[in-house]
Amino acid sequence: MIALRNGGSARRSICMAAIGLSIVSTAAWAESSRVTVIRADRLYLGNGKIVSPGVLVIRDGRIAEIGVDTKTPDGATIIEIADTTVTPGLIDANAAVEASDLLAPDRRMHPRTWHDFFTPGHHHTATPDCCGSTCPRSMQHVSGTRCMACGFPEANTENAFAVGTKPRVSLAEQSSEVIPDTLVLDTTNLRSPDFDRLLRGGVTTVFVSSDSAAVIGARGAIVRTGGPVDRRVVRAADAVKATMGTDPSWRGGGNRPPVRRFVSFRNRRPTTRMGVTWVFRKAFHDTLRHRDGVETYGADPVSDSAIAVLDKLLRGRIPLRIQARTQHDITTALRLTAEFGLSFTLEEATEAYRCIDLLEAAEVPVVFGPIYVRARGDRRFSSEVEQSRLHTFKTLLESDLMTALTANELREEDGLARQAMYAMRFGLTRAQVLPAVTSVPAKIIGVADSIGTLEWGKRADVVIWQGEPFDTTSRALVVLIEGEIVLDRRAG
Amino acid sequence: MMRGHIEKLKRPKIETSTYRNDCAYGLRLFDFSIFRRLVVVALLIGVGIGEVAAADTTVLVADRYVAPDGTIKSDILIVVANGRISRIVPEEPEGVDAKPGVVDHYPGAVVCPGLIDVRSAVGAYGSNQEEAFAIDPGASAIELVDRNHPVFRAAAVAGITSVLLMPGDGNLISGAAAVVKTVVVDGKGARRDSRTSSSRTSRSRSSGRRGVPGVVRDDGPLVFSLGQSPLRFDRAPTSRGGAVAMLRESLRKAKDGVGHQRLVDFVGGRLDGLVVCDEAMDVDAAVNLFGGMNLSLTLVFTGAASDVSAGLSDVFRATATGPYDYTMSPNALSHAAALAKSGNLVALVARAPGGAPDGLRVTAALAARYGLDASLARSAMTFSAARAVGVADRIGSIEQGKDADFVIFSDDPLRLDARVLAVYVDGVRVYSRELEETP
Amino acid sequence: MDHRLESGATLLHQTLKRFVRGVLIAAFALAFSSHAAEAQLLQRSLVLTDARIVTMAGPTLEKGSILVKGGRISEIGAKVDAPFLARHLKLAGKTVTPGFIDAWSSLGHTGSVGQSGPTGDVWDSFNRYARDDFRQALQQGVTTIYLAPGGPPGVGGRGVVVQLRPQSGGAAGAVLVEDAALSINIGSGQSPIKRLKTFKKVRADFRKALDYRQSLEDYEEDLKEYIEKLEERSKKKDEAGSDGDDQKNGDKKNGEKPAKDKPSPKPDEDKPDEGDGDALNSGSLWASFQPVKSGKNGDGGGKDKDDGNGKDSGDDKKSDDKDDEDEIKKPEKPSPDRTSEVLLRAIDRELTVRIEAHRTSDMLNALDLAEEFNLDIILEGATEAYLMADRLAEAEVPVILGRVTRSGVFVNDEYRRHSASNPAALTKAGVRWTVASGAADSQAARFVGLNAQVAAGRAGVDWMKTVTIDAARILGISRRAGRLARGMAADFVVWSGDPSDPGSIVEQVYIGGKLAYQAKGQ
Repeated sequence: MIALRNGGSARRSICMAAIGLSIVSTAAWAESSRVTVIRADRLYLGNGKIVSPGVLVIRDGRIAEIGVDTKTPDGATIIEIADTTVTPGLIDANAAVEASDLLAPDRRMHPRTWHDFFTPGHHHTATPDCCGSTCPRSMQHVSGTRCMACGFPEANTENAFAVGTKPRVSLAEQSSEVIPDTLVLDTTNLRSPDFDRLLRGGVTTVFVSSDSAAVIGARGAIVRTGGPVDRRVVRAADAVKATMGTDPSWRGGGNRPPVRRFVSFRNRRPTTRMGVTWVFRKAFHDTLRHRDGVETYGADPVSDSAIAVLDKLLRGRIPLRIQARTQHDITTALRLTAEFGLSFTLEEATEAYRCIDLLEAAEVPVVFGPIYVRARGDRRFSSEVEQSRLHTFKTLLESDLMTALTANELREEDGLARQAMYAMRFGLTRAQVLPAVTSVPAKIIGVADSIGTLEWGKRADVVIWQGEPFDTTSRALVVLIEGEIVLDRRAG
Repeated sequence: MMRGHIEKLKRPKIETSTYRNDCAYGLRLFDFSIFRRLVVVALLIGVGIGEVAAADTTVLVADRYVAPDGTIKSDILIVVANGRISRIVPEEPEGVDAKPGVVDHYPGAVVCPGLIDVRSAVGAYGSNQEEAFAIDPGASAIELVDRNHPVFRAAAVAGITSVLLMPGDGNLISGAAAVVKTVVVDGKGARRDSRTSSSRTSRSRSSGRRGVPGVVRDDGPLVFSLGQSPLRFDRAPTSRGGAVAMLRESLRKAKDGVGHQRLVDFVGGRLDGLVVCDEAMDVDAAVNLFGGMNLSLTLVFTGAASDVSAGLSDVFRATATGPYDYTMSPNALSHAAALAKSGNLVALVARAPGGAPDGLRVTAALAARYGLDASLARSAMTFSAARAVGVADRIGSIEQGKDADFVIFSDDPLRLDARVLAVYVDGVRVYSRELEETP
Repeated sequence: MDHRLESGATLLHQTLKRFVRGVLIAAFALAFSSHAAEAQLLQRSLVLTDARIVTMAGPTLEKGSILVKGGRISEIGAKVDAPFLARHLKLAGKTVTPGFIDAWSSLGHTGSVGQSGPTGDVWDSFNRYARDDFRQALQQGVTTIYLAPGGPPGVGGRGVVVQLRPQSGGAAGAVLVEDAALSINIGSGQSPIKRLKTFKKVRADFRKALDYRQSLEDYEEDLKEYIEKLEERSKKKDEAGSDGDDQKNGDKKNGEKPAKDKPSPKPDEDKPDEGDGDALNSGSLWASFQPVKSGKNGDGGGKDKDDGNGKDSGDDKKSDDKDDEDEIKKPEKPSPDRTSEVLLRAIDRELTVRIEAHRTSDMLNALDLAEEFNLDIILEGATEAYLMADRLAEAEVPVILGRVTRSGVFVNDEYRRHSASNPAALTKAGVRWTVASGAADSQAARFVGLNAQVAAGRAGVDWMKTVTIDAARILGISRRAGRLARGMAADFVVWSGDPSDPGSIVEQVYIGGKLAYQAKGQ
């Protein structure tokens, strides 16, 4: 602020300052205008339009022009590769990000006993029970050995937290089944190499979702997979994830009655589907009671911070996602949400083909995936996947529902692009599948105004594929996030 | 300093090398004429030293000293009274003639403020880990101090005069740390040299004016831990997500005045905090948690990722890193330099007693070799460390009014061949290399 | 060389061109010749000027110059004559020191060779492609290391002295001294009984080596005897050939042998025991296996000597002959014992022995071992040496220390009585010592200089001397490394300032006159 001394000279000085500022700013704007021009054989814009051949002009991280014969401004970076296709960056609306690098590599960094100084190898400081029973020795496990108390192969190797390998391990907070006050972002390592793997598969934005160990679990986050780390988080706290079915019962150590004299917070519901419904309804009932100013009571109490979040959920300010695989669980979800007037997005939806009409009646968006013949990862241990079908995604896409495709924990050669390939193999066209991995997930997670399609003014998250995308011979050659190249595989 | 001056006057050189072999105390009378002596006394009175030449005064004279900014400057005369630095005279007076007091002269040596170890388990009696609850702000590390622990003596002899004793990092909020001196000096059973002259014992000093002798600070900072250590399988939190949620909730409640008084004070800005992080993502979580709250926080981060250094100085007043040893990679060793370049105040940690007693100096030497400016490395052991734990008003630099904690090194403390010649705590020499056979 | 002449003088031009071409060809031929000396001669000399040179062989030169020719220091002093075409390095404000020597290191070591015993050579497990490790070591001024074999308690393998000289293909490391020392480890923190057993085994191995030598010597003697006996016998045979009896016997032998063959049942009849051909013929196993008793035959033979009972006499003669041959049995050479061969070299003081021992009891055992077998030993580790410094001085055993200061709380049993006064006590007693990184961690080799600063600071000696000339003398390579003097190899390090200053860094490292490391940004 310019200190005004007297009127006349003040006016003059303000004018001078304004002129100076404008000069400086335009100069700065002119200098900082970064232009990238991409020429490719095909531009798939994500909204159904195709430009072939096409030129895409990116200015300052935003899409400036799309055309056939656009003039190349001076000083622009030109990317032109033969036989390539440009698509918007893929968006995975239900990604489970690997967290294997979350383990402290060596307990010697945090020695707690004399023993820690001498014993080589890998100790575990926070060890969920290895064998399903409360094992007091599990704190002393050394990697590669069996539990000294129960003999179970120890659960925590360096890959244990890799999603999809050890079903009992969970990253979610175990101390309660209702934890919407926690954030997945706090558990996510933004420097994890898993993000690089996603990037290599052409995925530029992910919704990092909680795992399914809790009935009402953590809030997910929307994160970019490339670029400077401090600019990656798009939204820190997004939808709350709830889970129906058997996952909350056995994942993350499992709930059980007390074993001998070991009483812990694991002695709680649910152990059956009845328990899952109970916990879900109890949480919302407590919220309503809290809203009415009535004291809450009864088993499985919910913490105050959780109630605060559930309140917002009831008011519709925070979105809700429910993971349900079997038809029974899907109908349970529909019933419970109808009871509380909640709208939600359905995840997994393995047996959706059986109750399409119910879903259409409730207008539930679905995030479906992955497509598999044999389930891998956590699903392998679940009994809910036995009735999966390869045509489920086609059925969903051809219905009225907003359907997005996800690869969940699969990466690179099994990742989202491959999932799209499978979708095409089992009865769909590229034009039908492409929106399911770009614009539709953008709409579902609520970022459709900035990404998901290649349109003027949107953020320039772009992938250049070799050949046609989702072909067996295609892979991502160059990926740009906000106009900056974050992956460059042109050299091979 | 004396030598140079004497040469200037073209007087016969007094063998300063035999000074220390003579009696340790006593006056140094130089071969000056009476006239000069009068001039000197007049000068001293003029400067104001004469008035404080009381019974319990020490005067320390050295050729070089470590200034508060970490650089080595030459010629200093320090007057110590009542355990504090009462006056500093950086110019070279013509001679020292403080009759009643004691003059300790260290030719060729460097006077350094006592070193401070910011994260140690020195002197804890038993375990310092209260594990039952994740949030335990009521625990106080001062209760653990075991004065008879031999590691205190080893640390003192290595030059570390103060340590921060922390409760363990196994809780989200572990309690209040304490800053204690490694040697207790009081009017009665003071720890001192084996050949003490009686004049010292009779000196009456009221060191109780600041509380318990040997304690610099007993009420904090409040220690937070993020990372793998607070996670357990048998109590909340079991995951990092849960940990952050719990902390967030506690802080929110404390803002409303609900919770332990220390937390309420912390959130209100009346108590400072110290955050211990394992990995880069824990630092991110800490920045998210505490950013914008405008609190006084120190980060203790021993992990690698140098890309966390950006943006830390907005949230943390200082970052402590270390210890370094000979087996670490160059990337890890240059972490202190990277922090300093990003504008953070860097303090170094020795984590005694897990490492060798000179671990703090080795850490500083290695950090200096890998890019940390030498003056920053020196202040990382002293002044920055004091600022990191909120005791900079009492210790950490040679400034008037601060506690008289010094270490006399034979050379620049960053040079590992420099030896500790003497250690002073609260103005009393508690270790002298010549008078003690084995270090 | 390439003079362009005026277009007019074409003939002169052509002659000159030919001359120049010839000279160039000769020069190239010489350059690519395989003779190393000639190739080195063609290496451009290097002249360093204006540097502060710490020579370790005399006083430090404040502004000195070095001339490097052919990988060696050809001149060193305040000023040197720079030959034509020499490369000049102006090093004003910089310090040049000899390369540091890590006298007990495991840099580049991929595994333990000690398990194979003394026959193992640690060079076999040296990873020459551990570029990052070598670069980091050079970055801190370390140019030469003694690579310790490591291994289980007992007699281990043989170490080598390695110079971190860059080789082709990205490798580094050239052996300076092969078979530098034999490694024995009796200080590895075992239980007391195991420690006793280990030492007992070490002594047993040495004694076995001496026995092996003894058996070889015995074999030599036996062989001599055998040869003599053979010569005697052949002489005897010659003599017997001129004697009639012998001839008769020989004839009888010769003549009656075929006759003997015919009456084969006859010997059966002469057999005293059964005397019954039927018993024999009936196939009694026992009878058929009954040995022919030479005594009886002898008697029989004696009786029937002049009879046609040629067989007996023949047998008699044969058995006599056989007896003669039995007496001259060829001695068996003891099977080669490679382990003992190595230990014998140690006993003959051709191979230095380095014993790792920390406790006084182990060190005293080491001294006893050296005395018993007349070994040339160096003590490694020697954590408690300050408690017996006088004895070590008396025995004139040099000591290589590892980490000088250690944690007081979490210590290995071997380091329980460590004391930072170790170097001072050794200096006071007059024991030759140096400080090394200790072979526990290969990365620690980089900071042998810092470790030396700590140790030398305690002892009040110059730290650089410890890791250069002192280490070189103890390793026995002081003629090739450790100081900068005329004729020594050109291994030196260029520092940006005084190496003792905390901020000074290594800018360049030369090994054998060739640039081995250059800091980035130079």
